[in-house]
Amino acid sequence: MTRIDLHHICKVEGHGSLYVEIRGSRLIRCELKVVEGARFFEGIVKDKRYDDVQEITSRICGICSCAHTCASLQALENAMGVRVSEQTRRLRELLSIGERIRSHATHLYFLALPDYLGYESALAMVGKYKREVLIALHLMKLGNNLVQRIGGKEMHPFTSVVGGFTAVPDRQIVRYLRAELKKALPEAILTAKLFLKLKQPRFESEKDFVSLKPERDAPLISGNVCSLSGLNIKPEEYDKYIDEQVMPYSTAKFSRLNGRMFNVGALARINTNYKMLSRTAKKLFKQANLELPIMNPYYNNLAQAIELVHWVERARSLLKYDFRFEGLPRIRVRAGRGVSAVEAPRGILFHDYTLDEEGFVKKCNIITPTAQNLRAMEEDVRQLIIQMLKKKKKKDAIVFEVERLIRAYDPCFSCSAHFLKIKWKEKR
Amino acid sequence: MVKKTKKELKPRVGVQSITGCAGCQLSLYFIEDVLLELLDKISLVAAPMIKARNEEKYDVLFVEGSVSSKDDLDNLLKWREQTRFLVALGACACHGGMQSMKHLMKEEEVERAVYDKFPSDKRLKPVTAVPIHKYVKVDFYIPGCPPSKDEIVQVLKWLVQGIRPRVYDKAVCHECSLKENYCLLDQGIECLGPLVNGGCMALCPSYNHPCTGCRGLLDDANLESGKQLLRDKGFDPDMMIKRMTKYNTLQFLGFDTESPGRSTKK
Repeated sequence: MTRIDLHHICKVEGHGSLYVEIRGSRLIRCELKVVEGARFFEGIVKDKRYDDVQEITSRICGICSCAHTCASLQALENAMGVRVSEQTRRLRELLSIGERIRSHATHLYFLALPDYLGYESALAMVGKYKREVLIALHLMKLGNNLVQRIGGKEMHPFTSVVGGFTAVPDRQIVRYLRAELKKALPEAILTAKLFLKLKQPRFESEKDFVSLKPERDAPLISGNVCSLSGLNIKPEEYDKYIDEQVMPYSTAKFSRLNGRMFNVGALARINTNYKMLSRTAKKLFKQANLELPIMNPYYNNLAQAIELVHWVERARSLLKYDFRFEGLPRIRVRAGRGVSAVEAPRGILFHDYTLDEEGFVKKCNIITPTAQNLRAMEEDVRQLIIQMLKKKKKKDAIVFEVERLIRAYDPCFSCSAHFLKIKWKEKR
Repeated sequence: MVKKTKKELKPRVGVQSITGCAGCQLSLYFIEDVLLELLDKISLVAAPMIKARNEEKYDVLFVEGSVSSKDDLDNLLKWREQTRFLVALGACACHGGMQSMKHLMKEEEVERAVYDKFPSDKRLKPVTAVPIHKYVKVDFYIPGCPPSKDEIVQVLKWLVQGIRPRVYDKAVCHECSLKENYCLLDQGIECLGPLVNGGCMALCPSYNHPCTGCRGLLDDANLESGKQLLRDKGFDPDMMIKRMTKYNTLQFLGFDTESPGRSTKK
């Protein structure tokens, strides 16, 4: 009997591990474990005042802190019936875009690309692929610049508060950011072209794709939850459709939508919202000659690269605005429940709060994208191993391919782990 | 392989993480302009987030996150054996971070808030989050949530050159007044600047956002007079405590006798 135990999957965010048991050419067990320690965020924010919540929930994840910030603030605003200005929504979307650019750039170049080119890390590629590494660093810097100039810090932005912003970028900064975005567009296009050239392994799996769909805008910080299979629900109804299950071996929960496996993230966004892409992004996508919907999870990498072009363009048009400081927001506190769904770099993120009359959190529920993807990810890994065993592949090849598949999903284990502390037996 | 022997001479630097948000580690990779230059001078032997092949034995090891599980503790003890200098990176490693807020609340209540949909299982008992210096000797602290990337590079440069890193030990108010900001307390906004360690160039107050103490309490912070100050200005000190304890609950509760920042040893 062969056992594969990837104790710490490298080149992904956080701590995850995979346990596989094979007898002969039969797969006995395949468990994807999130071994990140439990931090109990939903318990910690209980009894905190509304204006302290964002700062806490932002710390759930370093990579998607802006998405957590926006989801958290919007849910609290919904709970108290606070309306925000057009400018605030614009700035929040810009924050999310900045974060998305750097998250995608980091994932594409530092986590995914080395596998395709046969290197152990992006840093080892510097000799032969210096240009690519420099593009990666430029794009990361662009994203960081956007978040830092608007949010105050590169990570865990703090200027965005319930009801508005404590400071807005002045004209000089806006001009600078627009110039930087213009400079970065060719680099984003080069990235997309690079990933168009890469060969993706053949692998397909049957599942549903879910993303946010607003009426006119590109989906980012608002909209209904829509699926490829035709589901269209308001964010507030999420708990009727998404059920979360606890696996005995993982600190993260596994989700299902209407009892089916589903995927969120860049690939899901392209599959369900292709029409919303910018013209340049569409043109690039057509070069791939792919038929929608794409069922091959490896194409998540390409989807991210295409999205990169779209978001750089979108950010530039969003910055065409006369930003003025509106004064510190004043909030009228009231009791209620508020839900918000936003598109984090890795998919839909739900925040749900119930507040009392004084604005203290009584109940909180957060569902992260990776938690929604976990079940599909585990199932895909299982199918992949079965396929490779049929082809009589060696253990090393299987491990390499499985790791690559998991990386293509761009999982974020810090985010997903918030529930259970586990213990499992490890046999060698 | 001449190149390889040359590589061996460079200081071996590693980045490892235990339970946290991985943001501190990212801050380190986000030094876009100098990253490649820096990698000329050091050899980054371990960084599981961006490298597939990770070695052991370090000259300088950065650790982010707080000890929140048995696994974390085992790893931490192992790393301490393997490195000459251990640097605590970020608020979680220095003070416990957000997850240590549980210390101030009723632990059962916190856990019930999370478990309430599920049957309780006795195996699910978590380890309460504590900063890493509760278990191992820490050579230097870089506080902040996330720490400033310039500071990380500076500390790394110092350590590589064998220079003892400088510790900043003045209140946030110090830099805030140098920047000529209009005091938030005077505007009626709760701010913890007077009690909190600076070194951040008063980043948050400069954006009209109150300081919430991510760099830890000052060594000689006078909590009682801080409370009085807030009371005089018409605030509720208990609310202030709630805000303050986000990153450094343990410090605040007085559990923390060894104060980060002062224990730089050569």
